[in-house]
Amino acid sequence: MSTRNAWLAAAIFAAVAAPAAAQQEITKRASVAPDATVEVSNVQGSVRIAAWDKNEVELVALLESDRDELEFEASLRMVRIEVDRPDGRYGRDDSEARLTLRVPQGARIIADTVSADISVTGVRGEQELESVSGTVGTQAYDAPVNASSVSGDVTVTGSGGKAAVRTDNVSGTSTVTGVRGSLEGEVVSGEIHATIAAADRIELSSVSGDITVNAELTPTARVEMESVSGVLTLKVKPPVNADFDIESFSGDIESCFGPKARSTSKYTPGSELNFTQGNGGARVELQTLSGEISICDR
Amino acid sequence: MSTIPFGPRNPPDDPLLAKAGELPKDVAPPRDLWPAIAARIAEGGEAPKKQAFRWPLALAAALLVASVSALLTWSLLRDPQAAGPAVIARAPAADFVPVRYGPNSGVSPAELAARDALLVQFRDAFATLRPETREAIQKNLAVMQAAADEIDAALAQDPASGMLQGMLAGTYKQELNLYSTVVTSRDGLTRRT
Repeated sequence: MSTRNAWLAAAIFAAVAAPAAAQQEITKRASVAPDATVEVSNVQGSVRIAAWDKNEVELVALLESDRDELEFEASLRMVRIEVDRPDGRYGRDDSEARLTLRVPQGARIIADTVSADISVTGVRGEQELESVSGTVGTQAYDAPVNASSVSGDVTVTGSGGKAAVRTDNVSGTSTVTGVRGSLEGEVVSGEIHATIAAADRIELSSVSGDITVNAELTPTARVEMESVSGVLTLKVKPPVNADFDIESFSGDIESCFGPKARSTSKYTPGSELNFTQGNGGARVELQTLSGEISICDR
Repeated sequence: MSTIPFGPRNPPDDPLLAKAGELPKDVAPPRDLWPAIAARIAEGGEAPKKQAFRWPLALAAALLVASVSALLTWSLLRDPQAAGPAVIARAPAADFVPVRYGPNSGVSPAELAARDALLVQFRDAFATLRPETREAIQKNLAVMQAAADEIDAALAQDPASGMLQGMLAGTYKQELNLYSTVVTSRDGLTRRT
């Protein structure tokens, strides 16, 4: 071995050995009630939660940094998990904390992250999931689901249950499919794509992002969609029995059924469209400032 | 947005910085060092002979490098900011501009005061976010600003429009939601429970 090779080998050994020593793997378990609340907080990395058929919470935490500390507090009704860095300094440190949990199916989940992704599968209890830049993905059953991310995407997949789903994004995209019941959502520049069966209530708004909804409306459904400059597209599954109240300050209104839109004033570029389709009953209100509005039944 | 006054028109208040400013721009060496250096090079003569490889020396060198590297890695992991240049570590995060609502918006001073109170917490949380997240927030505040301006211009034409007033209120709410989401997520569960 030459001197050069010896130095090289030493440098490689140092680079590999030191970070490996900093990593922590921690496993925690607690017996809980079937509908216990599980609160999780993480900064960067991931939070993965899956339901199982035990009244028990299991956590496997992989902390890449030895500066991170894991807090795990458990009682019968509540489990609280938090990854904390006492000095609060992350800076350019990309070390992650990856939390994998198994919880009872009926658990209530509250998860909060900064850049960590959140994914939840099979949990039938109420969910409140919030991230700043991480993605959020979950399944909706019958309990309410609130999912939000500032710049990450939000995906909610329904299972045919009658869940009340709410999504909030700033620049990320919300995608909601297979949900029955109600959907509320807000977005700034991101988009909302939703497919809802037997919709009772749809309330969506955006600043500049587009909103596209495919919905089957119940006889008493109430739909409100609003955007400043985004495009609103509503496709209603026939037969359509609804009262439509559509207005745009300067955007176009397109409809593949019913009458044509008319100008609201000879002084402003606005247009509106009010009519009853079929027997009426459901109520649809769409509004934009400059964004285009499109409704259709196919 | 806060700025730190500095430069010829704004002399620094810090006495240390003021003294630093008084230091001479050029410092001449006490004597010409080059002749002595040139003489030392000339004395060097022929190239040194290649020495035979010695295991104990190589092993000691390897252990020394491993120890120093491990210590350096450990210190970086414990305190990555301390290892960076002071100027970079202390560089302020790119700032953001809250939405300014126009004269037709009807946003009250009380509503703006409530927002400013939230902004105090948001500013701290914003500085700790990843650069790409800060950039996304800055861009979306600009999107909201454009929307607020557009609505304000439309309200100038139609001040009584409930639709426009509702959109303005919605934009204001979206702005507050953005700040609130970042603050609560950054603070984790400590603020929520």
